[in-house]
Amino acid sequence: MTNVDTSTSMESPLHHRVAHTNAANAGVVMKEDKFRGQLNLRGNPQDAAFTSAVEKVLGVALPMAPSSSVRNGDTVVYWLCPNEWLLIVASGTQGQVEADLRSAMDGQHIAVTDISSGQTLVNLSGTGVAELMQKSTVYDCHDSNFPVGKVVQTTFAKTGTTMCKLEDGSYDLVIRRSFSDYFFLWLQDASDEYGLSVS
Amino acid sequence: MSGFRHGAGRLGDAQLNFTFDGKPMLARAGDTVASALLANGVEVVGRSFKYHRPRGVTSSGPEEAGALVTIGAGGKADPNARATMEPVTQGLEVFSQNCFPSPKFDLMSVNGLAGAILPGSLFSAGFYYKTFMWPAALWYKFYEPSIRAAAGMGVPPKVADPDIYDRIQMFCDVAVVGGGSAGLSAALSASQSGLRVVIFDEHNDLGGQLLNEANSDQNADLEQWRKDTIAALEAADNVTVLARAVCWGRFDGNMLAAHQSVDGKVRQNYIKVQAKKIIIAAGAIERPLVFGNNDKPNVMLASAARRMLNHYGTATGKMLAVFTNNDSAYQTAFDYSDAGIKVSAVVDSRQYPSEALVDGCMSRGITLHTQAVVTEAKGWQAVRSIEIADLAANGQSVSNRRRVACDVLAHSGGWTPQVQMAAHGGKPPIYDKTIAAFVVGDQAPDTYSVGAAEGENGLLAGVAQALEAAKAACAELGGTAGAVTAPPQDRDGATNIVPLWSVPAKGKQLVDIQHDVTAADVVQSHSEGFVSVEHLKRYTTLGMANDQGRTSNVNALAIMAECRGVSIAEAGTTRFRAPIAPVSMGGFAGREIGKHFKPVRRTPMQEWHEKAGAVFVQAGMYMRPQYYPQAGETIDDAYERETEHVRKKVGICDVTSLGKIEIVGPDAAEFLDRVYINMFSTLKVGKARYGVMLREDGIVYDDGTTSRFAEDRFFMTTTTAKAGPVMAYLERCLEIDWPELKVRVSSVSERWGAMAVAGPDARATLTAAFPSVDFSNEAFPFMGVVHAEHNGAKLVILRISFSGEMAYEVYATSEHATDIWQTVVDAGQAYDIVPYGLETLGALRIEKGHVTGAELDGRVTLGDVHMDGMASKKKWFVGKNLKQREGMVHPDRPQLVGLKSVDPRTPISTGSILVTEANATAGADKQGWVSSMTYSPELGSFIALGFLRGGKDRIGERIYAAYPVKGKNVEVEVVSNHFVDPTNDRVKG
Amino acid sequence: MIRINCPYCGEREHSEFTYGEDATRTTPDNDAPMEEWNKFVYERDNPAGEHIEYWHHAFGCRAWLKVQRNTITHDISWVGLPHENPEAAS
Repeated sequence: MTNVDTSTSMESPLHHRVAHTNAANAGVVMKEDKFRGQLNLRGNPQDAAFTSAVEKVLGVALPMAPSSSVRNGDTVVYWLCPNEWLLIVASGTQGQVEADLRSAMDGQHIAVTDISSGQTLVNLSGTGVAELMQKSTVYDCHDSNFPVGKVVQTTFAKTGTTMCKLEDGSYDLVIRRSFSDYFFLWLQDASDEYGLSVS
Repeated sequence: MSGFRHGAGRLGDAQLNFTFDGKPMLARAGDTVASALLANGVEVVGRSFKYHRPRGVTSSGPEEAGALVTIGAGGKADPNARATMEPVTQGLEVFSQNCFPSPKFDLMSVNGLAGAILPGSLFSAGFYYKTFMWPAALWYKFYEPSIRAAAGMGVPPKVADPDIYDRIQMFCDVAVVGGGSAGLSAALSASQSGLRVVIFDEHNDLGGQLLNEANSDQNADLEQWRKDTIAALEAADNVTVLARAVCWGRFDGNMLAAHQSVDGKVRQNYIKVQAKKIIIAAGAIERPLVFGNNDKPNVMLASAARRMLNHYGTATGKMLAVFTNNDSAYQTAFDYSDAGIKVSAVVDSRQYPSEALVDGCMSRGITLHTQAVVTEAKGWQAVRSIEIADLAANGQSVSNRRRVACDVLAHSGGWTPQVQMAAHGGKPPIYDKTIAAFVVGDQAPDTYSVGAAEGENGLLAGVAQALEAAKAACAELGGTAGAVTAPPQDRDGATNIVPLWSVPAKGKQLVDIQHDVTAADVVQSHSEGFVSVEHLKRYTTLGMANDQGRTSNVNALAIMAECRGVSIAEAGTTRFRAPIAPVSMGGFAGREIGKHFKPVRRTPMQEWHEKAGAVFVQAGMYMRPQYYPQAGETIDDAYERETEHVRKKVGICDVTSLGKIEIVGPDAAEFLDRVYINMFSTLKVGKARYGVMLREDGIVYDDGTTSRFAEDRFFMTTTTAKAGPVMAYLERCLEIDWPELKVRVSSVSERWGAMAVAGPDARATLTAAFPSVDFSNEAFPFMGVVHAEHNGAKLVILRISFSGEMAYEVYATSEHATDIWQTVVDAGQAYDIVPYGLETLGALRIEKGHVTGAELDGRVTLGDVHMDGMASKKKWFVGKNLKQREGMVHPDRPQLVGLKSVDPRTPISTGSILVTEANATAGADKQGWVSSMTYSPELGSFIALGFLRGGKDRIGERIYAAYPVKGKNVEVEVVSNHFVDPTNDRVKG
Repeated sequence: MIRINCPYCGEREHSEFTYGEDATRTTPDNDAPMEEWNKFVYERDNPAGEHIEYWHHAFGCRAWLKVQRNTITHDISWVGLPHENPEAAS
């Protein structure tokens, strides 16, 4: 039992749901971005030592405007509240990023928590997604209220999500692991009239 | 057979088939059930509620009070549907209601006869408070069953509804309620500002009163204007057109609620629209006149008869008569006459109708009777003639009765603006004498009432109001409304109404056609003292049916005002409450039914449990394994086996659902000292400690185990049920109570899967599973914490136990959790490891005497569970101040004890009351209660935990656990709550 | 429905929040007499009209907020952070 290939020993939150029969011409396409590293970062945005340390490690400055996001290659940073950010990094790199952040901010009152395995990233795209959102969330997803790059924490059906709108008009949703199955069942039913495809 | 197809109206040619009570009928696409039934010559559609009088179509819209039918069959059946609002679809099944064996021959119409023989006595106002009372003995055997069988309208389906309903949240800047000429204009004008617009209309075709107009060459430009405006709205990106959408309520924050019928995979949408400005263009609804037998089939509102002919191509009869107190009904007579249908009379209660109207009648050869009224509609099942008479100058009596033939009577008592939505904003409507109607007085903020909804019936005048409102609404939002073309023709809004609230002649004069409430009932209500309109409504039930008083309210309160000798303004209206139209429960549920009612949360090992044959039980939002039955085992067999096995060998249990919180910062230890009763600042790195939290009133709130990973880093666990609440509580303390503390908390509940490994062979199993970790007692003592890695997984292993056996909790990063679980299971094969579920988890902890939520139920103090010694005397903590209140430390309080069934095979029921008498009765002295119970394989007996007054001094006493619901009284012995491993030798080994 | 203007997330439906409690209480000192603590935990004014209370943005940014709400009309006239006050703002 000791030399098992680690890649096969990992299960993403939606791994058991990929066996869905994809609809032709699906109006909703769901793609799970598996095993992305996710770190919760808390610190004082007014403290230059903190913000410059983070920028050095990530290669991009922390977003400061409420509900905003920044991207740098595989790294995405979401603003969650004035002293809290979600860092999304390439799969497998979260341990290194956490270690680098800790050493860069040694002595500062900050918190870095690796929450990678506890939540997953799901992308929803397609012609039916706008209506799907109207059925699933109480947030106004119209472009005038939810432009590209905005980060919104809100309800999704009976669970919660943190979502960001991408340039191509699709949505990235962060979904908690234990709610993933429920999320998928809801998605299947709510996208029934548009057709769902899982890639 | 009076109605028939006449012309096309605005419907196309496409033919549809449907059935009515099983009989095949023809319709056209665009027909409603009502227009199609009339076109097929059907007159009697059902029977009325109380008197079982024949009922037919009375209107062409939501105010329908007569043609109530059941649409569809089986699970899809929708009873009490208004035939005027239901479109005909291919193959639709429609059924009559409240009649047996058929609408035309109904046995229950004896009720009507009884009413005739004993006028006003049997079913008069408030009859349910006065009749069927004596003798009392007959109530259950006869009265109640008879009333149940006779009462109600329509039969609800008894099988599940297979249809899908959706809940949709929409947002807009300007919401327009009503798609008539005013609403369409306002919506188009507002949309040109670029702001987001939503427009609702109850009907399939938008246009409001424009649909009453003849579809003729003369009206072609008006019809084109209507079509063009609708097309422009549908083409606009920033406009959502919701047809067949009933806007039924308006709530705080300018939110509107509507139910929309659709015909696709989804049957109905419940739409919530968050608007910033609301324009109410809901139009006005025609009122009936009150005269003898005005409920007879084919007696209908004048505008409805007109719409049936002009829009649906359904002539409602072969010989039309009109009865009115205002100008608008004349157009019905003119349109029918121009279409070649005979009009036998126009009966106008006013003395001098205008010259234009008189000329209109003369030029068409229509006999006009002025200062005259209809005293009675006559005909056996449907109207075949009317009795008319001259009205005295003082309006108090009639004379010179004579008959006029007709097979449809179109009547109009005036127009009632639809003020309900505006009134939801909180402002009651006020009475306008010039139009004899209630209009909105003070507008609610952000609301505009325009057009007929505000009493302005003129076409261009109403549109002008609507455009003003759109301009103002947009301006307030920083936009500029656009200029739109006005309709190319005008229609005069003045009705010149002279109120006639009821005809002064004897006969059954209906005020509420659906609930069979007569004018005499209103008078009787007054004579019995129910004079307020709110009392009148409830005493007579008028206005409480599907139409919600649209056609009955104003007539009734006017009659009541006359009885009381006050003005109508003084009498006032009843409050309008949401929903203002019938709405489906399915819409409210949306898709949140069945498996979507509540999320089912899953642990990473869920599939493993499923494959292992676990039986699951609901634990909060999780479905957790309750037990893993082997072949032929009952639940008792399974948990007793699992429990014994854990105590003798080793078992593994999924405990992922526990709450897990990381607490980080230089003040983390101080923070924990404040929320826990015991000290955490003294906890060494690499150690865990059991902690208890109190509420600020001193009652025990939650317990858990908190480990110290580093000087400034702690890992807290909470019970499953309190995971969310404790997290919110900690955040609250830091943001509100102690913002000066440098602490950050994050929930890591999802990050870690967790498993308990318990039993004498637990150490050996884990050593085999994770060879890189030293599990010896010296390296890894009781309450120790070890960090490790295995196969890419991060592990945190705590040596803690709640089972009375050596045990560990293994936390693994969730993406690897199943792999780690399997690793332990594989390593445990050599030691006969079994998985165990919640049932066994419970049995083990009860044997050990450990408390859980069953004991910590929100009433219990530290002292009650013998934990007061744990509370630190050196520091302040939440709850410290009030836990010392006299009542909280009283020696007579029920205290935690163990209970052992004197007959080991007799189970004790949880929730039993502890008493000292063998056969306790209701008056027995209640000494306590049983909180948890299990069969203990180790003791070979049923045992329980409970609370007993003065319990700790009563060890050895024999008392009884009484369970009156099942008539049980079980003799039990009071013992220490630590049945197994009282000195912790096993856990510390 | 009631909409609350969260200072971080913007105006949101109240279904994203959970109700906190009365925000007009002053916490007694740790060693204050029991009677003061009793009053603090159990007594409330329950006004008909303007009320200052806490709300938790549980399904949004999870911030605790202080809100001034009219208990009769549900109009929310001010939203801020726990240590801010409506008078100071106006």
